[in-house]
Formats: sequence, C-alpha cells, structure tokens
Amino acid sequence: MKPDFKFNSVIFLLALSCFLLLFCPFIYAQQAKPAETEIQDMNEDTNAAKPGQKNIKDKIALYVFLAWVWIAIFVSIYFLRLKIIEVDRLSGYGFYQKLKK
Amino acid sequence: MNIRKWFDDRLGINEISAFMTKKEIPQHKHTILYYTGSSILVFFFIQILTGILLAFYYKPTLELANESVAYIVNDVPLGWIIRSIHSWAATFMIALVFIHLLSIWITKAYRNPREMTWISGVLLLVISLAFGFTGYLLPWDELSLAATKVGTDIPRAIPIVGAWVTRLLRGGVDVTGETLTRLFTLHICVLPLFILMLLALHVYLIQKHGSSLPLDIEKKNISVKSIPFWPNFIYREAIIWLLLLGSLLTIAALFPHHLGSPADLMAPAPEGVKPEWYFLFLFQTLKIFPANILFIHGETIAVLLIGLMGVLFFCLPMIDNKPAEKKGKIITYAAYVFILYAVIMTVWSLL
Repeated sequence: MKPDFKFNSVIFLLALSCFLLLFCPFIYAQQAKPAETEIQDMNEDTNAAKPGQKNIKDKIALYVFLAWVWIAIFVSIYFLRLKIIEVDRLSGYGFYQKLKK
Repeated sequence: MNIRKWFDDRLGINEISAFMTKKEIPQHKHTILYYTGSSILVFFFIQILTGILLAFYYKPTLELANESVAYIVNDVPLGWIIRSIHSWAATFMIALVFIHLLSIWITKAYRNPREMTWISGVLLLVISLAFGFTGYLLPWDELSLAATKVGTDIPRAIPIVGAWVTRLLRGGVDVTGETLTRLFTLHICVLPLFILMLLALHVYLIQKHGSSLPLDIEKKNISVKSIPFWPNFIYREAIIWLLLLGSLLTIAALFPHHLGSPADLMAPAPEGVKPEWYFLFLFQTLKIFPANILFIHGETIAVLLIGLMGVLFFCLPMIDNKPAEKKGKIITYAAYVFILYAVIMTVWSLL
C-alpha cells in the first residue's frame, strides 16, 4: 500500500529553492557586470578587497534577487504547510501504523 | 525498467524508507529543540560546498594567501558572496551547536543511555571551534595574524607541555608561513576527517537511542503524542531549513565579510585585536585574571581553570548519573550560570 500523496512535488520545490539559492547567483553574476564597474575598479587599488556590490545598479539587482528568494521560500513554506496538514491527517487515521505492519 | 526498483535492489531504499517511517518523534513543549540538530547538519553541508569552491582559488602561501582571497572577493564571479556565506554559515553553525548542547544540558538528555551521544557532541563542538580558529588565519590579514598570535600563545601557559603545544601549532617559534600551511592543512584535511567520523557516530547513536523526553514528562510517565520522522517531521524541518537558508543568504549578501590589509610579520599588532565572537568569553576570562596569583602566573591559573571546566563539561553524564526521572536542579542552575557568564563576558569584551 502506497501513500496517496506525492513526495515528488515537495522534492521538486526543495530542489527549485536550492537551485534559486545556490545557482542563480552565478547566472546573475554573468549578466550584471557593467563596464562602468570595470572602469571604476581600474581606478582603485587592485589589491584592496571590496566585497559586495560596487554600484547602485548591482545593489538594486541584489535586493530584487533577495526579494525573489524570499518569495520562493514563502511559496515553498505554503506548500509544505499543506503537505504537513495532509500527512498529519493520514497519521491521525493510523495510516503509517498500517504501513509499519 | 523501473528506476526506483533498480536502485532499491542495489541500495535497499525501501528498507531505509521503512526505518524512517518507523522512527517516531515525540511532540511536546520542547519539540522545537529537536530541529537544531538537523539545522547544524544543513550548515555543515553548506560549509563543505562553499569551502570546496573557495579552495579552488585559495593559495595557502605567505605571499599569495591574502592576494588570492582578494582575487576571490574582487574578481571571481560571486566569489565575495561565497566567501561571505562560508563565514556567516560558520557563525550560524557554531551558534546552533551551542544552542543544541545547552538545550541537552538543561533538559538532561545526556543521561543514561545517551552518555556517548553527549561525549561525541562535545567533541563535535570542539572540532567546530577548531574549524573557526584554523579558518580565521587563512585570509592572512593584519587582524587574523594578530589574533592567531594571541590564540596560539595561550597554550604556552599550560605547565610542562605548553611551549611544545604552541610550537607544534605554529610550526616554529612565531606565527609564520609555516603556521599558515599547518592551519590550512588542519582546516581542510584533518578536521573534516574527524568531524565526519564523529558525525557518523553521533547520528548512529541518535538513531539507536531515539529522541529523549523532557524530565517532567518522563517523571510523570505520561504518554506523549508522537509523529513519524518521515514524512511528518521532515516536512516541518524543511520549513526551518528554508528559513535559515534565506536568513543566511540575506545576511551574507547585505553584510559581506571584509578583508583587511595583508599581514606584515614585522609590523606591530593592531589595536583592539579580538577573536571570533565564540571565543570572546574565554578571551575576556583570560584578561580579567591578574598577572600573578600567589607566585603563580595568572594566565596559567586561568588556562588550567578553563581546562578543568572543559573536562567537567565533557564528563557531565558521569557527574550527573541519576536515574532519568530525578531532577538534578544544581546541574540545571549550573547551565543557567554558564549562559549568564558567557553573555556577560562577551558583552564586556565587546565594550
């Protein structure tokens, strides 16, 4: 007897969130490197490490990206909550007790 | 061909799945504390991933260490955020390890039969702190050099073996390129090996003994509601992981870790040298001791006292070996006193 809900959907959501969190920054980096930043860098001391976004355009792009990350997280949490309600109901019916037997 | 069946025949996925469904998690007012363990694991895996990415570019030599970190921060695409995540995830991880151990201390979850789980947990804390200490020097900037000089000088206060331990850590009399190579090797080879072995033992013991119950419930012998680990508890954990990952990414992006000027071995130590936040209470404890107490060097007494406290902390299950239903109030008060002391000393050190 198999559970009547799909684990795949949650795994997909988690995978999507992981993708957003870990790999999108790399894609973003390839696109959001304006020429003016490079010119600015050349004028500055090359040895000085300046972490973070170097101009206002990059900063706004970062805030937008973070906003998308949080939207993705809250959407994932919403679906996870639905799944929790579903599995708790199944648990209440003793569904998993039957599975153990 | 059924892919699931193919893997199941070879790896026994159904057996693992059946085991996870069989495992039960009790539901009570302290259930939130059960989430800290898996959250530590999440941060540990982030550390491995970001650490590997940083190691692709980092060069552990006196001449190139700081330059290579500057290259990661300035030139590698999103190198700055990978480094920032690595640094902030270490902070999150160590904070959670402290919360996890203190919650076990307060709820007495270390008692029979979980003594070995506690001991492996304390060793994991020590290794986590060692990761922090060895990683701190790697950027090779002024502050990290000065802090490592102070940090590696502390064992010198231990009688008989102190000077030898300091020399062993530094790879010589003073902090040099040898120290950098040693700490880098410890950081990426030796410590990961030990942490993985201990982690495997710790997780095995948790599976063997199951989740402990709070004293009041165990004492009254009340039956508590429990949920299956898979899928009910995992879904709940996933929510916490997502929130922690979001917080980590946001903090790492908004407050990136800065890199100081390259370290100069001949330069005097900069003012206000402080270790990472998790060592501050120990640092302040060493500072408040007078130079000499009854003809004995004050630092020696401080180091020995700290060592004694560490041994008592490690042996807690042997000291408090009452039956599970007995309260042991003194041990609980000791935990609160320790938390208060650590907070006061940390704040004092920051002022």
